[in-house]
Amino acid sequence: MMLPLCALAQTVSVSGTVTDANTGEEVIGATVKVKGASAGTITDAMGNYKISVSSGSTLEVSYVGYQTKQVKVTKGGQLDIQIAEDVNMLEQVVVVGYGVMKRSDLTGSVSSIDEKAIKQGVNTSLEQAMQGRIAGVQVTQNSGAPGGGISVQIRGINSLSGNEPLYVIDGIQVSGNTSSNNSVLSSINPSDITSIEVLKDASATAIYGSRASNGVVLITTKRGEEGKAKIQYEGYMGWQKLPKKLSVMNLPQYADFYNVRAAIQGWGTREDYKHPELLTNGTDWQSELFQVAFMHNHTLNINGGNKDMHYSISGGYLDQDGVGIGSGFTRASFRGNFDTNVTNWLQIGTNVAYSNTKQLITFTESNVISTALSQFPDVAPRNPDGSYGVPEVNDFATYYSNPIFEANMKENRTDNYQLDYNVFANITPLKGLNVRIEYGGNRGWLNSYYFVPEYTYGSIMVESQSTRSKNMSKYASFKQYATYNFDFKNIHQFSVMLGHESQWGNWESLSATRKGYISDAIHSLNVGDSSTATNSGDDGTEWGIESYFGRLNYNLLDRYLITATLRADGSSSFGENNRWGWFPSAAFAWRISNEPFMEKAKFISNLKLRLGWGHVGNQSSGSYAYGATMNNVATAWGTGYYPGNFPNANLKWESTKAWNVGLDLSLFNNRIEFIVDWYYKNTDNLLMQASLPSYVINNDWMGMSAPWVNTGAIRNTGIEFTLNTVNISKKDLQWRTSATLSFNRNKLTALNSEGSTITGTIGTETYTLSEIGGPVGRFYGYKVIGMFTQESDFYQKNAQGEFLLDASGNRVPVARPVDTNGELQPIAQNSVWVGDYIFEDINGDGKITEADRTFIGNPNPKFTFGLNNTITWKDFELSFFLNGSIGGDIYNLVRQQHTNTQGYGNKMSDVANYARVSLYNPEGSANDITNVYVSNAATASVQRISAAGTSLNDNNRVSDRFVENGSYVRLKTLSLAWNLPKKWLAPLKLDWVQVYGNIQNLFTISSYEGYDPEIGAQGQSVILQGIDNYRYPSQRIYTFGLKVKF
Amino acid sequence: MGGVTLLTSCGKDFLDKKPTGQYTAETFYSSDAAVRKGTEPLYNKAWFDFNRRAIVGMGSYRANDAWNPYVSAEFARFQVTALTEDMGLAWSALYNVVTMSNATLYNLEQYCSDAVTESVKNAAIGECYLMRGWAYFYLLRGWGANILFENNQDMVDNPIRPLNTEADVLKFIIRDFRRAIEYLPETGADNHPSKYAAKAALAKVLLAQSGWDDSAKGDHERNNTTLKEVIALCDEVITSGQYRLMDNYEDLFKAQNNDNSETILAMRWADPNSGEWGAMNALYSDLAFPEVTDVNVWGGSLHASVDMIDLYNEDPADSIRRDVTFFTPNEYYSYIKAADGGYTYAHNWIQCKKGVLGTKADVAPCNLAQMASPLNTYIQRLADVYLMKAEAILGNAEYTSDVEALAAINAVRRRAHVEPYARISFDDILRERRIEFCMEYFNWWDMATYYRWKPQTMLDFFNNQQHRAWEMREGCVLKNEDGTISYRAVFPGTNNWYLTTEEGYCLWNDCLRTSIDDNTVVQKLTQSEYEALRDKLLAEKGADYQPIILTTANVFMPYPESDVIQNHYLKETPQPYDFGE
Repeated sequence: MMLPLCALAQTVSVSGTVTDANTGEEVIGATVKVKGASAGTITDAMGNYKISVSSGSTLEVSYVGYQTKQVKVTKGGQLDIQIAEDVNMLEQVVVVGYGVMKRSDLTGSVSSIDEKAIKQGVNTSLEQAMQGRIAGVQVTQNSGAPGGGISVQIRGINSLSGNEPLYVIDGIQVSGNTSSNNSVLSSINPSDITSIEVLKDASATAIYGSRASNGVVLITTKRGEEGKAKIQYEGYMGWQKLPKKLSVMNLPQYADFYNVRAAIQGWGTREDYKHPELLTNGTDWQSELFQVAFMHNHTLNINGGNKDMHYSISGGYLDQDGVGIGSGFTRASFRGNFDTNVTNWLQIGTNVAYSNTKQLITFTESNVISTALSQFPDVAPRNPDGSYGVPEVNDFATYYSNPIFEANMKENRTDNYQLDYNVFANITPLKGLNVRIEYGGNRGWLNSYYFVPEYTYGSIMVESQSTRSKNMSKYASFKQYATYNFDFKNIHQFSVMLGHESQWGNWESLSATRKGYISDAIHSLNVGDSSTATNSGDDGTEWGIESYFGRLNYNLLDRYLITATLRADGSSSFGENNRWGWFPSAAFAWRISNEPFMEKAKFISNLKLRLGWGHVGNQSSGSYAYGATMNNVATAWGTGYYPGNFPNANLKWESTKAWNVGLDLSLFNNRIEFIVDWYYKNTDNLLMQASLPSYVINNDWMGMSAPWVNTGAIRNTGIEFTLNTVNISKKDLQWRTSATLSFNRNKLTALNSEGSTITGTIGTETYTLSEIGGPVGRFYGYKVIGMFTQESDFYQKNAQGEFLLDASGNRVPVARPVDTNGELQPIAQNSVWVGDYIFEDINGDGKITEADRTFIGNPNPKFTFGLNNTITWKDFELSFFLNGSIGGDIYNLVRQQHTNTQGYGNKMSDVANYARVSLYNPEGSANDITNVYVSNAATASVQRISAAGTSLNDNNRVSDRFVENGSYVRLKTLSLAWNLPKKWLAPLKLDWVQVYGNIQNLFTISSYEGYDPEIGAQGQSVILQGIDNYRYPSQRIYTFGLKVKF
Repeated sequence: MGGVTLLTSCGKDFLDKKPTGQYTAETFYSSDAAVRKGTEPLYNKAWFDFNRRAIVGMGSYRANDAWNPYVSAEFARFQVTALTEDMGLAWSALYNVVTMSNATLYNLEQYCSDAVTESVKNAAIGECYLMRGWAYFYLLRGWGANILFENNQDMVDNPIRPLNTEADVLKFIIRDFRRAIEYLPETGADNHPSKYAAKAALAKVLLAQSGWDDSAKGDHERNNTTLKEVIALCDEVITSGQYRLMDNYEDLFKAQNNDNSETILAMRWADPNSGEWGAMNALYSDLAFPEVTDVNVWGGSLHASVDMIDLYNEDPADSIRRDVTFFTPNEYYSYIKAADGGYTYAHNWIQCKKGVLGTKADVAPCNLAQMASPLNTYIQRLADVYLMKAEAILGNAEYTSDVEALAAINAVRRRAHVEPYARISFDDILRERRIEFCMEYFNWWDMATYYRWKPQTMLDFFNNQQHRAWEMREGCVLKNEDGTISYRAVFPGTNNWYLTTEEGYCLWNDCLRTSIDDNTVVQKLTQSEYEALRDKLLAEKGADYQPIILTTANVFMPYPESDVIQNHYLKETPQPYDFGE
């Protein structure tokens, strides 16, 4: 029908320069084509194009990140075109799960991060790129170790067991929950990513039904585009450094402390400690253990294509040494994405990614930090003969090994091979209908290598041992969905999607050990002593989810938008009675700015009100948790079997019902964009392994494992703000700011077992308690209100300082810990004495018992924020990114461990100022309470040294002494980039060259005494958050990088 | 669309996934072999955290058998608090035996297929009752009142339960052991117990029950009817023909003699080379010191208490048991470091020997590794039955010369090559037990039993005759020609290392020597002179010395705080247990 018209038109030649409407800079690689045609041209390195068109046709100029511009061609000759950067990207298409949508049509709460943000700063893992950039998303690195674990919390704590979001990488679903100490996304090269979409509210995530309750992160990798092939290299080199050391006692301090302790506790004196003041400072173990570590990263991407075939191929290599000896991470990755139009109704494609990551984990696995803090400052890291130094005084039963030996000589590393793949076909049998069939999955091979050489130093004999384990994980998904779009007179637009998906996975393992290695040259199993060989393996338990889902989008006049979804999931996690769950959602959006009455408010570019409700689920309990299993263990008879778990046949879905109200506002031609969202979520039937007393479930996991139960309900409410502004936009100077601010409050609203609480324990000690009416995971312990410094402190006084007397005229004692009869422990040196801490008697019963524990801190921050500024001046770009977390508390377990005056080993330097118990009358008895006092009462920073070894006061019990303010503001990234002038590049046939320097974590403003206030959660556990249990500290990184495009 | 869906719908089986890496309870109990295998972890893994460390502090340090100032010292010092980690681990481990027994019992009743022989099933049921009874018996003697339960699911549904009275805990244990007798076979096979193991256990708990009264402040009588049953049970065990005292005392503590003729019940550990944490006897590294072995150990500071040395010195002829329990100066051990021609303990010290097996080569054909000893941990051995019999016959009398009683106690003494008794008192029983079972982690549990019978006598015994936490360093112990041991002790107190007189002479238990560095004897002391001088010097120079005092408040241990936080009933009055009678 068009052909005759074309034939009549006159063909003219048009040429010109495409420039940025704001900066006037030439745009290289922009596509210029005739509207409706498939062929076109690409602008060259000077932004020039030349094309032959029929006069009267429309030219369409497009470029990634810019609004597509249409220009009518009236005559041939010069035609310069300016294109504007797409600031709010309203027309941008975003991935929403089983489909795409225009951003303007979204009804739910969806946030995006683009390529630029991902590449700002040194993000070795994708999650790091999200930190502080998305309102409502709290990202914390659980470990600063290269490749270390990360927790991502989307809108608070929804699930008590595994609160990580679902990641969907080019359609492949990956749970963010990991039992290991590394990030699930560590195998992905962030440079391969073009966009990250975070689906936050239930109306947006419900299409993922049972795996969606913690939010969904959609990750899209680069695909090829029609046009000239683009080759891009990016690389950087970096130096990492420990920003801060902990203050431990130096040798004179330690020797002095040792002498006093030896005198009090009756240990042997040490000749070499007789004159502490003459000693050198001794070994600074942290300096020995931490190093300036080098890292470098390289990525090469080639992409392009023609009308019918597109490709993108990339390869990357990252090599990061750790600041801690015995840690490091390397990643080699490869990705190829291809798609082809086979016919005009069939498109097929494939994505394949392979990566090999290697992580050195000796440092973290051996808790080398603890050893380094404890090892004596008089021990040399290395002896003159090269052997490792060891303590000479070694008859006190507690040995600290040489941390440098631990870190250097032990092999403890993992190799992870990850293959992700999918193949898909898009079929368009008739206009508006698209059927997509996709098969994909991944395979992961995780090999672990552990080796200790035979080594004898001092009286420590280390036996050689080698362990190799191989694990394989398998996951596959097969999905089919059809989308039908139709439009009734441009008034009613419908989009209907229906689909089916099945997923299954399994994990299997094999592990073997040998001992008796005659040298440490070869660590392979076969050279070990075969008579010591042991092995084990597990075929795992397969899991499966089958789903049916559908979505309806209705758009009335581009003003009223309705989205409704429904998903039915069947999960193998539950028994037959509870296998299927139904997850509906509905959302409504009103584009107020498109209303006729808004015509006059030209300064409002966009105003949209969103309202959503959804019901999502979580099925991630243990496999076969509803049934009873048998565990096996080696016994004297060979392998024996015992009941492995408590079955719970009635285990059912965890379900979250959530409301979201949001407002999007853009002003002044999108120069100001403001988004606010408020949400209210109720999660019911929380899935978790029951928190039971240690007389029911062994606290060392030596017996049956706790049942998976639907434990209770939790509520999260929050409000989050995003503000993006273009502050200055001139030809040579631009300044943009984007800020996020998020508030979340969570509250446990129900527990299904009467009178119960959820305790967070490490070993046998309780650190956190979660009870109905309060937030999850608050620190639960004692309050220290002072120190007994003299006899009179043991008795209560009124405001005038007079002693309170009981009915019989006796002084009323200050509460002290009690014995098994419930009576106060005596005032005595080997019991409670001057120099011991006074704990607050919360319940006022005159005794210190567990009933006096109270909430002493809350690890959940009051709010988190991110603030990013980018200033471009001519060819320079300066950006700085601040993020922060305010109002959360930290439990400093490191300080609790290393400020106990009793144990052996070096301590924090605080301990040098222990409470000194002195005698009023030196001739009098040290056992006479009226004759003793603390001579440094005003300044003592830790308790006395007790002669009895332990004090019945348990001074280092869990108390607010170890709770610190965890608020911090961090300059996460400061970077300066320079784009080399085009005129220099043109002769070299280079499109673009950028050099930059970047400092990560330049400073952190925090009062926290530990290494780093970003603590995260122990093993991603939401009930053990904010406990600094020797977390690997985050490092400062100085990098220099180069980006080249041609 | 519909067609696509139909083609790919996976069917019901797709969502019905059974484990492929482990058995399920429903299908496991389908053969005699499986049923037998289903009780084995009750002998190791279930007890692991009890045996890992706390058992030594609880069973032996508290009894003042020995001590180590650096490991588990809080037990020896009676400074266990609700926050003491090893106490919490032990408590939880003992309950682990309870829950594992309960679950196994439930599974046996629920899931045994027809292919399982009744006798095999019964034997397994009997083992569960036997183990549960023992676990509660330790719990009773460690903590007093406890939470009794037979159905784990009830505890999962509502774990917040009151304590049950000590009397009911005893009754429960007795019921368990009686059931075990009913179910266990006449003879055990493959080192599984016979009903006589349950009878020996029953004798032990009945003997405890005969005098157990947690309300009495003073000493009181044991129940004679119960004692009669104890004697009868002991006789049944002794005459069953299934057990025999080992000829050589030292052979009892060699891994090669695990499951010997004297063993009635023991924790049986997995091969040290299995490398499975939780399956092995982790005590080795706490007990041994580097010189005697070739695996990594740290027990160097563990040595005999001064009170044990005093006890040994009362009868130097009783040296076999002493030298097997502790390394004593110049003693030769042919079976330790045998490859080097044996080992002579060339230290003036008295370190722990029982449980110390030597090198890897010494334990062959067993294996040895760091934190993994091949040695069984006795729960009960025949010598205990002999001594119980004597104790039961003695009953409430001050002395007995009963032939049967003497035969029983002297059987144990004869094996140790010491003079038989012609008349015995309670003190003799106590003394015999202390020496026979020293460092076998038994003695305190019996002392706790005695305390519930004779609280005043036992408190006097604990506080008047014992010197806890007195340390002896290398160089502080000498063996004399008459076989006695001289020692000087370091007592805990500010700046006082050894007791010295005004002249600067160093006080030893039997003499004054020139100085701390010079061992020339300047004056011999009798026991009474020593005690008088010691107490005088302690009062003068040891102004800061604080003896460890046992009271009603620390004989039993507190409940772990983490559990009290969850269950406030642990602080409240114990309630009767519903036996469903």
